Amino acid sequence: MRDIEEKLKRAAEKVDVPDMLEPDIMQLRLDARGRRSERESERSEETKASAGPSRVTNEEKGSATDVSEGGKVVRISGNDRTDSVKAAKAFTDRAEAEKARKKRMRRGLATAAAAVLLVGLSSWLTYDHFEKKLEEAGTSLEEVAAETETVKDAEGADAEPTTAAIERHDAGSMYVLAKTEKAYTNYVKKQVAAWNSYTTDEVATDSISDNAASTNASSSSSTADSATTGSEGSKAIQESADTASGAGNSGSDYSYTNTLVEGVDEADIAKTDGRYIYRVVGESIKVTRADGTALTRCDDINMTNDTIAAVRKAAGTSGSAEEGTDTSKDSSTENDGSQEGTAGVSVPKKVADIIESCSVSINEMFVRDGKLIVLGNLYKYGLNPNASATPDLAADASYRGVADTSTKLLGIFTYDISDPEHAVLKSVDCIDGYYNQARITSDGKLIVFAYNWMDDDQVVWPQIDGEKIGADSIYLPAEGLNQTIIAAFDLAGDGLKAIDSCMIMNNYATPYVTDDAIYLYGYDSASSGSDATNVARFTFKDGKIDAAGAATVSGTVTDDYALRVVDDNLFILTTTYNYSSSDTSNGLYVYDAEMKRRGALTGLAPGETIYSARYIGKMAYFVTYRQTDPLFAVDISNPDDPKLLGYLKITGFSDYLHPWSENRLVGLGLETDPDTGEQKGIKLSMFDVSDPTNPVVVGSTVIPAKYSDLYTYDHRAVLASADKNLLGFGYSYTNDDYATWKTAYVFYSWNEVTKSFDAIYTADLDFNGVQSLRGLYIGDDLYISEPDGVEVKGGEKLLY
Amino acid sequence: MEIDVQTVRKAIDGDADAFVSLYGNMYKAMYRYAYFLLGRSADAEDAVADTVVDAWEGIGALRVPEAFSVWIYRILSAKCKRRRAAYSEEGPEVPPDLSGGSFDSTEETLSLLSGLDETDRIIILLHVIAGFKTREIAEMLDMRASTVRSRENRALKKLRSQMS
Repeated sequence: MRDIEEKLKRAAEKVDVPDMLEPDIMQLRLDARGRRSERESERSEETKASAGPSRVTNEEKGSATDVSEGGKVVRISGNDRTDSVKAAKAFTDRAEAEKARKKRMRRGLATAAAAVLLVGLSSWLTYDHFEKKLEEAGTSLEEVAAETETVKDAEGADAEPTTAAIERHDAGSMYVLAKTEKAYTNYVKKQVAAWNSYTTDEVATDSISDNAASTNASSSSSTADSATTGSEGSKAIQESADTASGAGNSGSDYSYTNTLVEGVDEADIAKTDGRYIYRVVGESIKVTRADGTALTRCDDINMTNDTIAAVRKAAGTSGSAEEGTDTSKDSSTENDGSQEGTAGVSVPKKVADIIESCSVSINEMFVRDGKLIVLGNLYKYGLNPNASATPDLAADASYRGVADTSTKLLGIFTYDISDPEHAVLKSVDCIDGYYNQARITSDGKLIVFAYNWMDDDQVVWPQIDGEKIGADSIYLPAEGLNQTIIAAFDLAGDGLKAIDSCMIMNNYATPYVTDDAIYLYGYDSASSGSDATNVARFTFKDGKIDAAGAATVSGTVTDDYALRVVDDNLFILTTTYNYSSSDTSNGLYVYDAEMKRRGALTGLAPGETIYSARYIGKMAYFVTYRQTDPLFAVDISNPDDPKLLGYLKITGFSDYLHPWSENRLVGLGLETDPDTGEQKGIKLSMFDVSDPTNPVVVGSTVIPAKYSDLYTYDHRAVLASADKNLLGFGYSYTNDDYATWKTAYVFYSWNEVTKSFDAIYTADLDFNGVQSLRGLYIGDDLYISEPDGVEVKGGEKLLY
Repeated sequence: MEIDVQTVRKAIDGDADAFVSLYGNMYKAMYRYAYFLLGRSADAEDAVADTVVDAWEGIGALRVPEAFSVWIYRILSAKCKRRRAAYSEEGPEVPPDLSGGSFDSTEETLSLLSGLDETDRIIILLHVIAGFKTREIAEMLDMRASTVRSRENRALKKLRSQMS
């Protein structure tokens, strides 16, 4: 068929690409965010087309108004914004699923989708009106949720499974433990053969080299050994000052990363310990001392020059790296007197072997209890053929950047920063894979999520610090070759101590972590008819990971705050897109500790997509996007029966919701003109939800701008503290037609007297990387961490 | 598709020049992909422009730089899909010329492609225009590689049979 492909290729080459897409014009356009105006005109087209509801602007306190919609189903067409990042994560583009295994699933989903559509067609104003339909939908969805992928067949598995030192369970039938090396190997071979088969479904297993067969079977028991050592003195009780607060910073004198779950810290690019500010900038961790408004530059921790050199030194002076040594970490006992390489840097052999020509691509970091933990993937330098004969690879910049290739090794570098101006590297750990995310629980357990996949012809056994993850810690789904690796470490002592790890074969799952549970959720590739998400629950106790159950949930998660765990029950808000009708609908689903469905509230806001969500106490609040922006209030006090209590229709939409007090909620978003859909600026809103059947706007403030882009894609980029009465966020904007775009980071406070938000500190910046900005506070001082420096309210910006 | 990971990392960190250079290597293929999928140049242009802006806004959250091209095409495909859903309301597009066609002109190419099922068209375009490997396409469409291969072959055979 090459000739057809060639012809098509040539035909494509004849197609002229419009000038507006040329890179230099696109560069201007990126600065200009031209798409907004196109979407505006799209939206105003729809406004004329649909016999829409009368819109009510509701800015005064106490004047919520009921609006009759006439039961019209609203079609989504301009919903590109949600489509963007969230779709990329949630894989909203799909193809037909395979028939055999999915028949039952499809039937169930079709019933559910039909029920949801029925619900959608009726007026969604009155809760009672669609209760009956909800019941129907609830039943169908229950059936669907109970049906999961068929158990991976154990053809060829050995009779005797290896004894697991940790007792691990399957996650329902969604992820089944491999238990034997043979089962894992056979699974991989089958998957790889499926990738490789050309015209038919013939399986070609001959070409696959099986590295696993030659690996020592004893290495799986060493994993078990390392797992049990973690129990000694590993409970590091954290001082309250160190716990990150997910509900915004409260009661502390310095800011923490804005996290999804209170008490579970998330790695980030900027941190403070109340005296120093740490920033990830390129290949370094930059350290700034903050004394009120006076900023002082301290020594950088250059990962490539200093850290790698220290690691190489430690590796070089260690004992030999022989095969079959019990511990895969070598320690240097030599004190070389350098800033970072001192006595007792422990380095895994695996890292020592390759460190000679590596650089670190820093991802994120933690600052905790006098420790700085940096996570970064290791890359090997490509060699510059023009370089000198005896180069100092780390120092010689001319070696860098020539086809740097990944070693597929994630390095975790732990420094002692009891003296932050003289950080000392203490240990290096490594995980086979690429960095995905990381957490530290309130009792001081580090959980790292890494990601890997297999090349066509090798069975890969991922390792933690060079120790293979055993077959008793590998979870297999029905199909898939991507690996999600979870590794748990204890923070006690100088470095890290590996406690437990496991690997789940799946596609791009996102973790949601509480203090005692890990949820992995991701798009269900078996779904057809409409979207679905696979969710697996793992318990996390004393650093040990075990599966508790799994379920397939209708729809996809469109906001990081859409999940919440209360008393071991998972509440999850999703938006379901039906492929054939192109309709969306929303639901809140509740699952117990074993991921069995308990309750559901479906058919919410048909035709819209969930834009932002937040759970506060016994309530779930969420905002949907289309044109106006209803704020829904759902009572989740009864997990078996969540109830829609009320909603508020206002102009504009909120990208981000934050609890402010027991009865108040702050919304950050955009203001739009109700008639034209045109953007008017960024809006901060204060909602009163003391009567959840009747949410009310207390007051709002608009930062006018012709076009603006609020950066709330990453929740960590928002700073919110009700106690400090601070809201910090970044955005880009323009006031002339795309000519000049600016970036700003601002701090606002709520003014109860004027019922509006006051700008406390605004910084106009010169570059476009709004995603790298972080607002911080120490005491009453406000700081902004930027790629080119740190600035402080009332003081001089420190540029470096 | 080969993409320089270090450039992607820089783009993730907010380096606009790095992002634009990545774009510069991809934009022609992206446009042609969208164009052959949608059959309308204005819409294809919009789809690409929307995709690029959204990708730039959201790249800060991309955690696997190696997945950049797959990631961006997913966005592009989703945008095209939404537009195509709107087309079906407007009526049938250019009917396939089953009596004999060629790839000589753009119109004829579009006509030939319109005779294919949407998914088959996506597979062929991802392969021929965007340069993805079977495995990457399978990953993007959540299918098995064997399915991707057999569908592509069947579709190519169909195209050949329709050619004069």
